[in-house]
Amino acid sequence: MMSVVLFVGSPRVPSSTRSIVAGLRSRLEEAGASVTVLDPKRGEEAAPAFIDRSLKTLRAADVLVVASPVYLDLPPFKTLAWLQAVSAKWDELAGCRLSVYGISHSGYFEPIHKAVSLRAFEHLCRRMDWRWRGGIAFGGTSPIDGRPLEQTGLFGRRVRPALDALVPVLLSQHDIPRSLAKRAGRSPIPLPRRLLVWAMNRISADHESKDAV
Amino acid sequence: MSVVVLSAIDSSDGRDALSRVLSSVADTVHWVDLMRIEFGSCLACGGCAEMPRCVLADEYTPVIADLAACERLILVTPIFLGVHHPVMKRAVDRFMPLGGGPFTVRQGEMHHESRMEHPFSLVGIGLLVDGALPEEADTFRMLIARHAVNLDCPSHEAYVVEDLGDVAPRLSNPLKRGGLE
Repeated sequence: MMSVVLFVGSPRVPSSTRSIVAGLRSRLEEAGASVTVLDPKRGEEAAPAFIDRSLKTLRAADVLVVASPVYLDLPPFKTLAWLQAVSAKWDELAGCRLSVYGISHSGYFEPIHKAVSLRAFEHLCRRMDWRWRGGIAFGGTSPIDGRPLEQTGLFGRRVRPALDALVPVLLSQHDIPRSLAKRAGRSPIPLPRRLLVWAMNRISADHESKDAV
Repeated sequence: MSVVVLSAIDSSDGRDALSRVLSSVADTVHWVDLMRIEFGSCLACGGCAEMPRCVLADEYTPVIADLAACERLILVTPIFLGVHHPVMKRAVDRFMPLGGGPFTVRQGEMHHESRMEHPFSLVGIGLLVDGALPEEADTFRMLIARHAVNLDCPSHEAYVVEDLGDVAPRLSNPLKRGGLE
């Protein structure tokens, strides 16, 4: 049975990353994969006990998916600290030939915001001699905010079909097709950028005025 | 000129040379040794979306206010996977209160407006330490360019060196002429 590890890189509660990982987990399990989710609590990401557990899990795995939000162009501290702690123990992972996939997402709609984050995951694979299979960049994910993907309407419209299409790619350990990465990276709200910005500022202002009342 | 240096370098090698250059061109230099202060990681609580400050109160909190007022910010970090050392990222994650204004379009991309009246110029100094691959240098330069767009910096510069002492003479001229491209 294919063994897949899903790492949750978000420090936030509730978190859009957890919604995406939960959606991917259920799809993978339905397809017959064995799935382990690694989701360290705040402060636990580089703790020896958690890293030991991570190493043991990774040694038995075929596929690793690093799912992480992007804060200021990069995965947050939680993700980088875990990757550093794991990669420092590279000798304990000798012979481990994981296929690695990245899922980076943020509230901003353009894939360029996620580009450096995905490159960092690719560098990890080069350092560890793992197989980089590519990444997906979702935009406009902030409103998902921990809800099941099925309840996220417009904001989950790129995520749900992308995860459906990603499952067979993961299970066959193939590279992510460019067409899939491109589709997933499209804005969930296909409005001209300036109109979108105007609308989002209106929504924010309405929220603030309701809060003030 | 006021300069803030955030350093995630564990040793003092090369720091003296860099400090000398900065002291000769800047009115004030605030050097923050991230490896030697206690500070927490961003909770992503969204508190700074409501008000322009971080909800965490620790040794790093006053540094965020200094960042908003400085003219140049210099990030000194070992390169890890082509990007910041995790400790530098812990500090950068807490830049969130500096942004957080209304949404805007900048350089054709969606961003938040800066809350800084005069955003700083940005300098990134990446140290290629053991284990770093040569191609990670390009990723680091790309990262600093992306930070400059995100933080609305008027200019930026990225240096990748193997020894911190190597950057001092290269940094001196752009700082003296008062501008960075």
